[in-house]
Amino acid sequence: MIKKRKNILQYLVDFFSSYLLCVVSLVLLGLLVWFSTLEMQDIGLSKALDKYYSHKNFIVIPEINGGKSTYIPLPGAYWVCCVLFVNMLLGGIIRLRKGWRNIGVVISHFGIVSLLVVGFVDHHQSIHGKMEVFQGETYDYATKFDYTSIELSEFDESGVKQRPYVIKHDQVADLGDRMRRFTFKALPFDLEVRHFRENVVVVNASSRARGNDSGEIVDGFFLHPAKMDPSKDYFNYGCYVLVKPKNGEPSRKLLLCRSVGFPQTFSVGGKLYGIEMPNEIWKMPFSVDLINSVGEYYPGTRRPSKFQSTIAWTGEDEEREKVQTIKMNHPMRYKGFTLYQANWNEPINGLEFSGFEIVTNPADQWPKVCMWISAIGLLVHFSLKLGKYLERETRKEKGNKQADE
Amino acid sequence: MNKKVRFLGFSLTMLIILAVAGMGIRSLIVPSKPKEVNGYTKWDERVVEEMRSLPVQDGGRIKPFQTLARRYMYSMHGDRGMKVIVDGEKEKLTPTEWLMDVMFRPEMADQLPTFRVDNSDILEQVGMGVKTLRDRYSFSQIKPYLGKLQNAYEAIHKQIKDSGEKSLDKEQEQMYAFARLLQSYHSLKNPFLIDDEVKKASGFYSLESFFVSNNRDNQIARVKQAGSDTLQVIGVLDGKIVSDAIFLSGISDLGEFSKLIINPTEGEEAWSSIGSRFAKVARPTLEAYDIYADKIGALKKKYGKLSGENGDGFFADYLPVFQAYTSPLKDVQYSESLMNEVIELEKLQMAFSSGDAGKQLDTLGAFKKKYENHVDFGDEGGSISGEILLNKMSYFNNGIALLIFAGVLLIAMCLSIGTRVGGILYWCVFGLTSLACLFTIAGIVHRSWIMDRSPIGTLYDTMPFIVGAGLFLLLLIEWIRKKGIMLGVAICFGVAVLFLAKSFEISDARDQMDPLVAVLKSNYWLSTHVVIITLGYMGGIVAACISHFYIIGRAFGVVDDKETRQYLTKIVYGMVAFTLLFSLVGTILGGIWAADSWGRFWGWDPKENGALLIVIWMLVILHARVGGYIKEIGTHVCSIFGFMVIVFSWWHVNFLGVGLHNYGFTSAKAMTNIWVFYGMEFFIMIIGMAMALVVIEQKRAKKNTSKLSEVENTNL
Repeated sequence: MIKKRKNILQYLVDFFSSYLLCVVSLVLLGLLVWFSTLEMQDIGLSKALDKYYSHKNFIVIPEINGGKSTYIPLPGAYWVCCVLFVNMLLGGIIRLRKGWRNIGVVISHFGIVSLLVVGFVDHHQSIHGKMEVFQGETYDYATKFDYTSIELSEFDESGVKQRPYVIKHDQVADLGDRMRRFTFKALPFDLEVRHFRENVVVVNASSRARGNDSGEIVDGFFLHPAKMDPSKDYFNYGCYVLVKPKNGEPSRKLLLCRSVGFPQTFSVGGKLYGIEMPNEIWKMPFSVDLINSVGEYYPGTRRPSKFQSTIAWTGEDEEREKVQTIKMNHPMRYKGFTLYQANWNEPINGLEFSGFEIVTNPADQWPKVCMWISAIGLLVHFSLKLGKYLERETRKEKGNKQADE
Repeated sequence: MNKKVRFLGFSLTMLIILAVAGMGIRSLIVPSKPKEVNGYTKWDERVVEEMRSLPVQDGGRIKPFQTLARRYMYSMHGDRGMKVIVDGEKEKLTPTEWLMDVMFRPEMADQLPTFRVDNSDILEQVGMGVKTLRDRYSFSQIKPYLGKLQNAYEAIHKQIKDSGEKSLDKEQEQMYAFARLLQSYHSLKNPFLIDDEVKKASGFYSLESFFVSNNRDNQIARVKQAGSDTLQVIGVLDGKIVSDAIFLSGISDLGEFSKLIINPTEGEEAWSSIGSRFAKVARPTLEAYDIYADKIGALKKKYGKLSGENGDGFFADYLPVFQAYTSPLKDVQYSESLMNEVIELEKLQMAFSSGDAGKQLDTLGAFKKKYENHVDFGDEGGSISGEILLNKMSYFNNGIALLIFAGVLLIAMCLSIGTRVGGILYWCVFGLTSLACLFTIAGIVHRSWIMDRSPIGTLYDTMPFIVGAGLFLLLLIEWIRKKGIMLGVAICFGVAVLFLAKSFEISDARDQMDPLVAVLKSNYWLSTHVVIITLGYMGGIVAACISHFYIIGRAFGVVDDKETRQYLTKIVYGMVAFTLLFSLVGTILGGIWAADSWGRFWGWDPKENGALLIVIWMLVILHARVGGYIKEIGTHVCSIFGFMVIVFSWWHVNFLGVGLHNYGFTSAKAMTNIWVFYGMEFFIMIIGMAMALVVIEQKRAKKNTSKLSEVENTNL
């Protein structure tokens, strides 16, 4: 018999749908998950996720034991998942021999492929933030986790801060040691941002030797790169800015850091301005008023038994205010946003306080559907296998009995 | 199935049981002789019985005194009983008796070998002479070195503050834990035992008289009326103030005695212990005393030695200091209920230190009656009598005993295989294993009923659950095929995991039935996600146990017939599929729980990653098998590796110190055990891989031989 010669496409399809690729991809994914879990101890959750699971990283080099042990380079988990996705789609669904024998396999593969799609959507689309709410005030915004911003505001004569101009996180996050100039038409100055760092501490120049720090000294302080505390998983961003007045006044250097909770001030053309580095503001499609918040502990312990808040909220498309109680495992959901109870504090200056975290994820409820699909698929497949096994065993036993007779 | 297989296979598994049990026992028992305790008198059994069921408030729930005593005895003594020699006779003190000693007869308790020390080097560091590495010591033996221990504790505490807990080495960790145990022991001791000297000086002999004699106006009147002997009056007043302060700081917040009053804040908004309420009222007195002491010190410095000549001048200066001390205390009010409750505690203490069993019973009876209406379990569930019964039944310990007995019969069964006795023994082993399974399940149900929640809420809960479910499954498989192999596997598996649970319970020294944190208070998710994922763990562990039997058995030539090998491989394949199904569904359910609670499906938390690793590895096994990359031995080797992945997810990630599921314990000993486990499993995997190479080589040789004979035949 003459074997038909395969073309390149067929070779590629064969390769991408092969069991070998499936097993290798799964082993690689397992290794990446394992290494990332171990490395979290040293670099924290966010950094480990960024390193191993970001689509920006094609290759990762695992470093565990605080960087003392370095292992061979591995492909990034995002791309391994992409390969697995293609493999499952081709090998587990499209090319699989259809029929009752394989129906369970097809269904379960379809469930897992859908789950991977959910993972991709989640990776690219979900945003996390926090909303700290005091009784008596209305909140319609949250602040994003891990996203900082540079806010510029003018102060009026009575010292009241005007509506700020904002440079968003994404506009500066990739800067590193480079410089980027920002111009605002309404402002009498330009702004140059440089040395944007993920983690810094503000150090008094006279209090310790600068060593190899490249940062400039501004008003007696400089930014010292710091290692992130993995248990806190908090990025203390920092950068240097240069205010360049358009009217020929001398430029002014300033130093910004996320953890400094107040603005640095400067004057241009006789007007006072403030610049600071708060978390990036995130506008919500609803507003929230805290009615009350309750925190209870089990008697004689600091183990929380109940944290809950009652809020009045109004959606942007709704006129009527709704009252809802948010507690552990019972969040508020609205238009793809989930608001849940994250922390609680004793009243501050007599005002009740509640800390919520907020997440938006378009693929929010899809995993439930994927789980049912996968579970049903596996159940059907393994039930068929078990049935067959039992049938074979019974037949064998009968055969043995007959042989004995 | 031939006799040899059964006999050797089960003999081997029994050896494994003994090894595992031996290791478990070794970690539980400190090789020390019972200590001689001079003058010890045992409590009256009726009093002990009554005390066991006294409701106490501890760990956020109401529980019997017996459970509290067990928890403390685990943490300090590392066992559930204390062996001592009294007047030449061996005695075993129960946790209740021991805690009664510590609380009510501390001078006697100080002689008991309470403190288990696993590394005596830490005692040598403070200058104490020790004979063995691991031993038990009494408080009296340690007392002379308390100062040095305190210094070591403070130095370690500072290091933790500066560089974190991870910077501690193993010895520092042990020293720190030991010093904290001593603090805990001190807080258990009776706070009412004040020196008689102090009591006499302050003019009261009980708290009742303290509350009565604390009338400041009378004291001022006495000072004002003081006539001729000024110095004597100053002496009496000063003595009273000093002894008041010593008395109050001595009883401070009443220590663990507070726990004996279960609901002292009737009518108040938030729960607070009787001790903290007492300390709150007593605080101004102690603060006023600090100021008074400073001022008196300055006066004494100014006047030097007091005599008749400078006495009046001193008195004139002393009077405003005394008034400054007493005036803020006029507002100090010990409320009626507070006084009554503290006095109730003192009455209890006085009765128990009297040595009169009748009086003890009467006082305890009255005490229990007074507070019985306060027992309100609220939403958390609970039952004093139910918990006493649970403690008495010792379901899991009985399960271990039954399984060990079944193991012994199993050996006998293997020796008499093919005979009538062998057949009877088979059913005896089956019955005993089933009984152990029932005991375990009964224990799980009983605990669940008392806690009024799903059976799994803590790491400890997973262990009996895995045993209950695993034994049930293995017995079911055995029932279908009746090959006897699964009985051996079930016994090994059950004994090992139940011993692990016992060892963990003792080393963790926490009440494993304490209520759960708010986020875990969801019976729906605990019953679905947690139960399903634990069943996934169970599937993988059972598969690995069978694979151990296969590899070790085959290595020793025990599992040599094809039918048995195929049977074991099919069961392992089935269990891998089971593990995949439950792990996958459990993991996704966990994600859905997270999405429902926190709006995010997946957070790459170490525990989540661990569960994902199990799913990935099970998928690797199944796909590698279908793809023909692994055969029979490969499946078993991979299944053993799967066991390591499960242990990583089940235990190891808890020690990483990051993530939402982080349990926060960093015991170096536990980590060492995990690494030893990985090492052992790797060793067995290497045996399996070597065996696979031999089989491949044999097949190749066979193939070559047949080819050669084919060529010869052709030539011929």
